[in-house]
Amino acid sequence: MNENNSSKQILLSVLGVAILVVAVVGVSFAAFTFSQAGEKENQITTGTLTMAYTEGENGILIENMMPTKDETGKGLKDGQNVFDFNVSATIKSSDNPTINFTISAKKEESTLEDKYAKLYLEEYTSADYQGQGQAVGTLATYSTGTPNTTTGMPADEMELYSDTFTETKTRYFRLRMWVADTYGEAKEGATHTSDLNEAKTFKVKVNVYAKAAAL
Amino acid sequence: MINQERKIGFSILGIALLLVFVYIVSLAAFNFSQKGIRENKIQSGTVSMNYLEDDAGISITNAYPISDDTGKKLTGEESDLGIMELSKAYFDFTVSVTASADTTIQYEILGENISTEPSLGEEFVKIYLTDGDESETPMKGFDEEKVPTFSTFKPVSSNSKQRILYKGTFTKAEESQKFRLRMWVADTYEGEEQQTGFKLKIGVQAEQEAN
Repeated sequence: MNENNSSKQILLSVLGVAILVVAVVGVSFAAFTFSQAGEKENQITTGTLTMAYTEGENGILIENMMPTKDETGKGLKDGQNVFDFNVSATIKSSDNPTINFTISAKKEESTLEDKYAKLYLEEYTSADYQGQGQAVGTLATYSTGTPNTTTGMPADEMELYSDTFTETKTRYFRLRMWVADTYGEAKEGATHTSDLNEAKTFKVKVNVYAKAAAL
Repeated sequence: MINQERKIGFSILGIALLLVFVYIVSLAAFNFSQKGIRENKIQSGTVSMNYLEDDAGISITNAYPISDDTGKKLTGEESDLGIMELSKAYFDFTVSVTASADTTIQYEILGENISTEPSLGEEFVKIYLTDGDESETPMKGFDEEKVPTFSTFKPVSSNSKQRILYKGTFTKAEESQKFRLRMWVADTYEGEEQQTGFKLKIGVQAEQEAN
C-alpha cells in the first residue's frame, strides 16, 4: 500500500514537472518566432542560437539604366550600384546544430516586368568586400512561386540563396541588379515604337529566413 | 531508506530526461525571419526613335530598277524616270538615348520585311542610310561604291525576318543621331512584272556595354 502511494507520488511529481516544462516550452516557442522591421540589426536569442541580418548603408539606386549584358552587370560596383549586407549566426552548443537559412528578394511596387530584372548575389570573405566575390545562388531574372519550407521563406518571394550555418560565423553578401539585355528588343510584327521609349522601375527588398535543422 | 533514495534518484532522472527533451524541442523550434528595410531600385533608360510620319516605314510599288547613283539622290519628285510611284522617297528619323551616366551604349537599327505578296525579292531591294544632315553623309557600311541590298544584311537570328541595317554607339548619357533612309529597286532586277512591292519597317534596340 505504502509502495503504491510512493509510486503514485513519484509519478505525480514527474508529471507535474513535465507539465511545467511543456508550459515553459510553449511560451518560449512563441517567443522564438520573431519578425521585426525598422531596425538595422535585429537579434533573437534562444539561449544557444543567435542570428542577425545587417544591411549596408546604401541600397541599389540606378536610374536610366540601359539593357545590360550579364558580364557588364556582374561588374557593377561602388556606391549605389550594389547592395551589401551580412548574415551572422552564433551557435553555442556542443551538439553542433545546423541552421538552415535563405536570402530572398521581395518585389516592391514596380513597372518593369519581372523577366527583365536580373538579380545576382555574391559572397565575400570579409567586411571590406575586397577581392573577387564568389557567385552564390543562380543568376536569374526575378521569379517567385516556390516557397522554401525548410527555412520558412514564403512563395511570393524569390529565393536568391540558401545555405547553412554550422558554427558561429558572419557571412558577407553583395547583391547586384540590372535591366536584362533582352529588354527592349524590337519584336517582329510589333509596332515600331520600342519598349525602350518609356522609363520603367523595378524595386526589391532583401529578407532573411532561418530555422534550426531537426537533431 | 533505500526506497527513499530510489525515489529521489528516479525523480532526478525523470527531470533530467525532461530537460534534455526541452532542449531538443527548443532547438527544433528556433525560427528567424528578418525583413529588409533598404529599397533596391533600378530604372530603365530610354532609347527612342522619333520620326515625322505616322508609319515608320518606306514602301515602293511599281518602281522601275534604277542605278545606285540615281537611287542615292532620290527626292520623290523625280518625273524623268518613267513610270515610278514612290509613296515616299526617303524616311527621316532620329535615334535618341537617355542613360544613367556617360557610358557606352550599342544600338542597332533593324529593318523588317513586312511586304505582302507578291513581293519583290530582298536581293533586289537597295537600302541606303545616311545621316540626316544636309550633307547626307553615308553611314558606315553604306559608303562603298556599291549600295547593299536588303538580303545582304545579317538577320537578328536564324529564323528572324529582322535584319541589322546599322550598328552605332552612343557614349554620352544623352545623345542623338539623325538618319535618312532611302530604298529603290536594284538595276539588276529583270523581272517582267512590276506589280510587286516591298515594304520595310524600321526599329531600334540598344544595350549597355561595360566601361
